[in-house]
Amino acid sequence: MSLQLEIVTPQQKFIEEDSVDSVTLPGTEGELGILPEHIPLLTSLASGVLSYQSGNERKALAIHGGYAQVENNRVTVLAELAERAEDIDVSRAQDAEKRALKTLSGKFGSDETEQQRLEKHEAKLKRALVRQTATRI
Amino acid sequence: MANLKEIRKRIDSVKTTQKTTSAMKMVSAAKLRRAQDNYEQATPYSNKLKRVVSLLSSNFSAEDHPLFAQREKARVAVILITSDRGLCGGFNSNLCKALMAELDQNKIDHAQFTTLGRKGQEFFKRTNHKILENYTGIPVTEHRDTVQKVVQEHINKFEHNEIDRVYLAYANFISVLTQEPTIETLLPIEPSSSEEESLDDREILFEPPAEQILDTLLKKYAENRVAVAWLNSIAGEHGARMTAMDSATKNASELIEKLQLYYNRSRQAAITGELIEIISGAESL
Repeated sequence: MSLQLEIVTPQQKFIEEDSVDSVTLPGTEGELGILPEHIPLLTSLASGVLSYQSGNERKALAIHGGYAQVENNRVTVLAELAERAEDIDVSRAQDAEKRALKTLSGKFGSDETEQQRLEKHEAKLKRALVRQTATRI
Repeated sequence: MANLKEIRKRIDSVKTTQKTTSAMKMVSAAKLRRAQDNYEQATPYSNKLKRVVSLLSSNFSAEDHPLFAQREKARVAVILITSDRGLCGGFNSNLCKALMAELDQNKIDHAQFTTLGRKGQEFFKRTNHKILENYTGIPVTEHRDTVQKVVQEHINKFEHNEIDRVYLAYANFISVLTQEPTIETLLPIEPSSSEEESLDDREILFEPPAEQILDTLLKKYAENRVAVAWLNSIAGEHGARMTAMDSATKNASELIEKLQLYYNRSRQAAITGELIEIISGAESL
């Protein structure tokens, strides 16, 4: 028994694998491990690392937001943005992390635009951290 | 009979035009390939998203979400996607006329327009309809932000009961030769009667609960439809321009041929005329 995995982004079809043994998804409610014969599932995804095992190989991707659907041993991931671990520039992610931390250590007002700015930078920090984690798997 | 110099000039001018049209055709062909590629790359996501929406919305009825609300079509908004530039045959005017006919048929005479592309704005500013906003010269890289902004505005208005229906109008790219004017209802979102049967008859697990996914998913779905329609329309624009420029180049060739023939005849007539003059001059001596 194996799973089919398909990852698509608004720009392109990203990955299509016919037989993977397990998939780990970064759901908004926590990490989800998918094995063959999983019940049908629809979940929203957070910014995080998606990894999958096929044979002895373990591959990782950084995923930022979207949805995943599991049905009939088929995992479909609709990601807003996806990056393969090998395509990620680690030093750039580290720089981005430092920049985001620096901005976040500053002051933020309580009005709406300031809160939006805070959220934006928190999201940037999260993405930078996810990218670094993805390269370590 | 036109003077020889004038014909010569005319031929040269047509030749220059032909050079321009054939260059434009080549440019469009290259751009078409890229645009078509962009569009095709975007379709898998769009299809999957549609399927997820239909799976999810089959669990809900029309009262469950404000974006499902069916109301009388009194106040209508239109998102119209056209090209910024002309010289692409009937690409824009066919769409605008079809849209105008559709609106007239439904007796809508004060729709609020948001136009993506200059040509649509130029057409509808002469009518009774009101143009709220116009986006011109947006590069593909900025589509996403623009679409998000436009769709969010419409969703807000729809949810606050300021508009009852939103149409999405664009020219659907069928082939290089055919672009079909398409007018779709963007809002309210029709909970599709899941024509696609689920492959798995076990109950679907939602995480977070379906109500929470629904809200963001529907918004994403609306955005995606506009974004894909836009990519589609760009491919259509280049296809239409390529066809138009191809026939323009052919017409120019025909015209040059005719003018050349006329020029040769005129030249011969002039020579014959001169000869007759010389001969009759010599005879009279």
